[in-house]
Amino acid sequence: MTRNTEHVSEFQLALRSFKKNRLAVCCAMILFIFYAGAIFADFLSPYSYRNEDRNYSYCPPTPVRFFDEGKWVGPYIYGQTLTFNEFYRRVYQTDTTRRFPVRLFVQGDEYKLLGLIPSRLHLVGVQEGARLYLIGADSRGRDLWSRILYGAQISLSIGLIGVLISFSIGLIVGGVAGFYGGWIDNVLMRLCEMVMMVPGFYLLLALRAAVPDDFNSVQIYFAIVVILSFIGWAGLARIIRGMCLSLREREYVLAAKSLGLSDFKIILRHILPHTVSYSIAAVMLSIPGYILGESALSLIGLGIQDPYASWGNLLSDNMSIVRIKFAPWILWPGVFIFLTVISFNIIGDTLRDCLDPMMKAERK
Amino acid sequence: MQDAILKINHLTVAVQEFNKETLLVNDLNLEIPRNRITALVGSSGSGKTTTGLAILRLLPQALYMKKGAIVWEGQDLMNLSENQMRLMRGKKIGMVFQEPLNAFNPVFTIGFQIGEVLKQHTTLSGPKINDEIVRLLTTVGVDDPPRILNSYPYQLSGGLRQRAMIAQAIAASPSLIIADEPTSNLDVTLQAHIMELFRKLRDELKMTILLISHDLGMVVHLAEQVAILANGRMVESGETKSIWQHPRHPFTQQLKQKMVI
Amino acid sequence: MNPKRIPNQPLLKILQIPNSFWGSLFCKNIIGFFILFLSWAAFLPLSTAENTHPFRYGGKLVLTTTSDPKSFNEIIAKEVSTSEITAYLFEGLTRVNAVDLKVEPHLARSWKISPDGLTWIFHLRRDVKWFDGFQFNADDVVFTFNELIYNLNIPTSSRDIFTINGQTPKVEKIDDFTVKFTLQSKFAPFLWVMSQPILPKHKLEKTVTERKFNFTWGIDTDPREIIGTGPYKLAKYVPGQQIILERNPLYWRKSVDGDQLPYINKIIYLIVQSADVELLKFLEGSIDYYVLRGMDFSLLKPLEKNDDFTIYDMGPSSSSNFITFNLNPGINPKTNKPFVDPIKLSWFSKLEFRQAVAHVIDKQKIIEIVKNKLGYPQSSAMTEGAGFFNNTNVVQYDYDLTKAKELLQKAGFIDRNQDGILEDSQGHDIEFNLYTNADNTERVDIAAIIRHDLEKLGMKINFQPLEFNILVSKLNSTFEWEAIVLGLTGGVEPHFGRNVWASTGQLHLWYPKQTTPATSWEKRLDEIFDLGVQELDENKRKVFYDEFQAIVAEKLPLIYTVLSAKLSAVRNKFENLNPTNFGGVFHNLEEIYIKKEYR
Repeated sequence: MTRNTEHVSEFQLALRSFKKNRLAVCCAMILFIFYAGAIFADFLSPYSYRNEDRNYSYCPPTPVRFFDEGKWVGPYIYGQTLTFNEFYRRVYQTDTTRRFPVRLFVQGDEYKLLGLIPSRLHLVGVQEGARLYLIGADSRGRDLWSRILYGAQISLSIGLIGVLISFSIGLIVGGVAGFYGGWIDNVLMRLCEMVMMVPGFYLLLALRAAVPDDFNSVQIYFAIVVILSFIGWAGLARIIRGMCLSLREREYVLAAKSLGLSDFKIILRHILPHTVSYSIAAVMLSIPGYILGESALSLIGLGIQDPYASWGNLLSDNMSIVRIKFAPWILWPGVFIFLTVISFNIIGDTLRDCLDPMMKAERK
Repeated sequence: MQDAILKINHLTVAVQEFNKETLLVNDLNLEIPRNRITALVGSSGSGKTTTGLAILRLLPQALYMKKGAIVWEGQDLMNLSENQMRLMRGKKIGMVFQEPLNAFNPVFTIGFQIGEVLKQHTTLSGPKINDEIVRLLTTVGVDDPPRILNSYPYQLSGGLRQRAMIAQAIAASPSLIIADEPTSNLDVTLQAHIMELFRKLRDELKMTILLISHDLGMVVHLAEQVAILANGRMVESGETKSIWQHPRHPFTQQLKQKMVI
Repeated sequence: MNPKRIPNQPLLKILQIPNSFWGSLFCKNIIGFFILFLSWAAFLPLSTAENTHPFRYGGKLVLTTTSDPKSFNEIIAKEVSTSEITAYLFEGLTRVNAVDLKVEPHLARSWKISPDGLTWIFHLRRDVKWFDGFQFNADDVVFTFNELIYNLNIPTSSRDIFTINGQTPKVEKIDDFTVKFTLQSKFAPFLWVMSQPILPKHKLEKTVTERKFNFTWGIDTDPREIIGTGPYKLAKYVPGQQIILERNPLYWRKSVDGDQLPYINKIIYLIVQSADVELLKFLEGSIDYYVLRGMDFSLLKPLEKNDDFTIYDMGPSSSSNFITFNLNPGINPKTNKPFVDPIKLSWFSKLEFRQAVAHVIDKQKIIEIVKNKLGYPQSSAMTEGAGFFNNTNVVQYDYDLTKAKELLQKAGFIDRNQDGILEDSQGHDIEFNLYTNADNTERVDIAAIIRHDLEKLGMKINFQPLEFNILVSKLNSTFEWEAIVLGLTGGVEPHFGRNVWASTGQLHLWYPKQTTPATSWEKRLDEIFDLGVQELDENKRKVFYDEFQAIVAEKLPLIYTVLSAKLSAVRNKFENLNPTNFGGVFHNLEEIYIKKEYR
């Protein structure tokens, strides 16, 4: 007699209870929107990240109007001219003589969709003569909204790629240490501790200083990702190692050994998969660390370089109370970082809670 | 008298606890004749499972072999390197565990897990593996092998699971099967079936079986030889019939009366 | 002579002093001593003479600094954080007047120069006292030069300043208040460099003989041990927090009205982490002085009236910002490879290339964006702040992309394959690295703007801000760089820029330490600096240095960009302020006092 149950893995069960948590689902949606925005940044942004116009330095957000003398005319903006007042403060004079309609699906700066297909189509835009700044401009007249979207590409991907690398290293190191125990475990764990002992930020700086100076931006990007993963793998390895230490006592591990399976296969097939559910929660919780690590590097000028945008270097551009006072919109990237970090944390916490009772039930 | 496929000489297994050494198996001598079922009987804590694990050199880390030799076809298994020993396991000597629900990895299907053994020890690949698994499952008396193949361990009943585990243990065609309390978690009817299966393994597949159990009454119909263990020592051994009819050692007598659990 | 008849006064009668007393020897002696006493008292140093303007004395000046001093030993440590403090404690024989930029007497009250310009005799003041009361005299001057500056066991950059044509002036004591300096060759800025601070022999002699001088007067020294002649002495130093300087009651200088200076009692330097913190402290009222960045102006100017301070605009700063290209054809001895790819070297070496780059520097917009419109375009190696030696008649390069393109075309740089990037005549894409130091955000912004415009021309730039020490090592040791945006401090005396302009100079950034001048114009610059320093007539000197600035503007080894405006905000409670471009706000600190209504 066999139960004719539909197979549901423990992960799917966890997912079900996850969906019941509205806050977590909300955060997941926020992240989904951010990642979607990053992928389609070229299309969604009115301007390229490099499109600068010095005559619009620190231009405030352009008010989009809909009515002209009480009549509905659809969205439009006016042109702006830069002047300096008596206190040398930037004041933009609005030129009300000409309306510039805000159009959808306009032709704008050239780009390659997904890196392959050349296109000039943008979701919104205005024609030449006026600039549409949805949330304002930076010191060189570049559109902050566009740069935030492009910045998402870098900041969000660094998190994912970095965590993938740490995750792999951590799993392998933790798995080997936990499975074998003895001197291997000792050596590997001491190695972990040495890496964890160095204050993260200084290790970051030291490694960044070791990067050759003539790396171009793409190489620096990858160097930064590798550096950040190097910092992060140790914590994960320790947790995995702890789990493996107990997992290897399971009888099916003994059974696998009695069947003559190689150690490598046992670790890979029989031990590590049982850590994945916990690891995923740990991974979610560590992604913010990468985003913040990249921001920290950018804030001191050692991260992603101009003209490429990352949320970190967008913030660092203008870290001064005076600039913040006169152009407060430059803090928007901080809001995005904040939302992303919070979302990952909430999702990670919720996943961990959902997976926990599953793990308890599994052990019986 | 059959020649011995495995000879256990002066096996002594100890464990170090709080600076005191306790002997779990004390100077055990046993010859396991080829193509026969030998039973190792004792109460819990008598060292029988330890002996089984010692043969495969799968003792838990805290335990160690203090003395003794385990001779397999003339070669002392203790002298083999770990790699060489690994080649023996599954291929030459297999093990069947007490609780198949624990002995199977819950996240993989039966087919996958038996397939692992085949991939490790044979040159089969692809669909041939599935064919072989079906054949193994049929051998152990499973009715609907394809369904079992795709099932997860928890989806099967106890009896089916045990059969599946036996299928996994014989997959690489080992000469010796060590069965550690294979029926203790099953009901009486199933016990009989599994015992029947062991008989089939001995008679049709010419395997040797070392049957570890606490139930003397259960093994008496199946095993030709029996050895009684108490506190790590072998107290009595010999032909099952004579032991059963005339138990000399008081312990054996106790076992016979099933007053020892 | 009739004996004087004592008036018949009741007091005398009461005192019962006999008549004979007044004529006695004893009485004459007493009167004599009394007259002597009065004449002596009249010459007492007026150490507590708050006589003419007693209300001016007292109060404190609170300033900030962003780094701790490395030492209080003026000879060993010369970086800004140290010299900021030691400038109050020590003085030189001369001083540069911040208003007219002329050298005036200080510890020396006068000097004479021999007709051949090689022998200088300084007559020292006699009323100068060290903090501990000892008299300042010629021994201290001779000690400072012969035992400290010329001492090979003491590492000091002062020695380089006094090394003229490879030799140092001979320093001899003539008498207690006269010192003779004998030079081997004429040296026009000699009086200028004699502002070198003098240190006390009586206090430091022993440390020199015991070879301990290099460790003397470090930051953990008891403030009372640091002996100078200056208007202020060190009272307290709390590392990381503050430095407190106290008025020197024995200071020799007097105001025009005869007040003993200085007026202000205490100077407090608060050590803060960053310019933003300084700004906040100024806004909340804890400090009296703040040096503005361009962007601060918009924030502070509207608050002037309410918060009772004044912003002084002292004109352009003398710190330059420029872009320079590596013209070094040398080979790295370790790798046997040239420092610069010879293909790129050939581009940079073409004058049209550099001229094109000069036409692409959008100085107006850089000033607007980076300095918030509070800056000045720079065209000449010596800035406006240099005053007399500034040459305003040099070649100017306006922001003209078309002109730049023409120049490049003329030199063979054309986008032949229409891929948006220029190629040279061999078909190589014009691509090079651009470095600058990451910690200077303004410079990074300037470099980013230049880079953007160069890319509009069709050049491919790899822009890479580097950590400062790495940049310095590239410039000084490895020479592996292609283009750099950098800055140098400037000055009034052109000779002090020799390090940069002479072909053998260490700071001859684009091709340092040449064995022979690489170009005819660099050869001419060498000549100018050799001749200019020996010409004692100022006007004749100006001719030389005007030519040097014209050459630099023509040949563009450094392509100048913009200068900051020197702006400072000072609380209105200070009287006697006379801000100048060269001296800043507090060059005449001793004469500054706090207004009555602010006490």
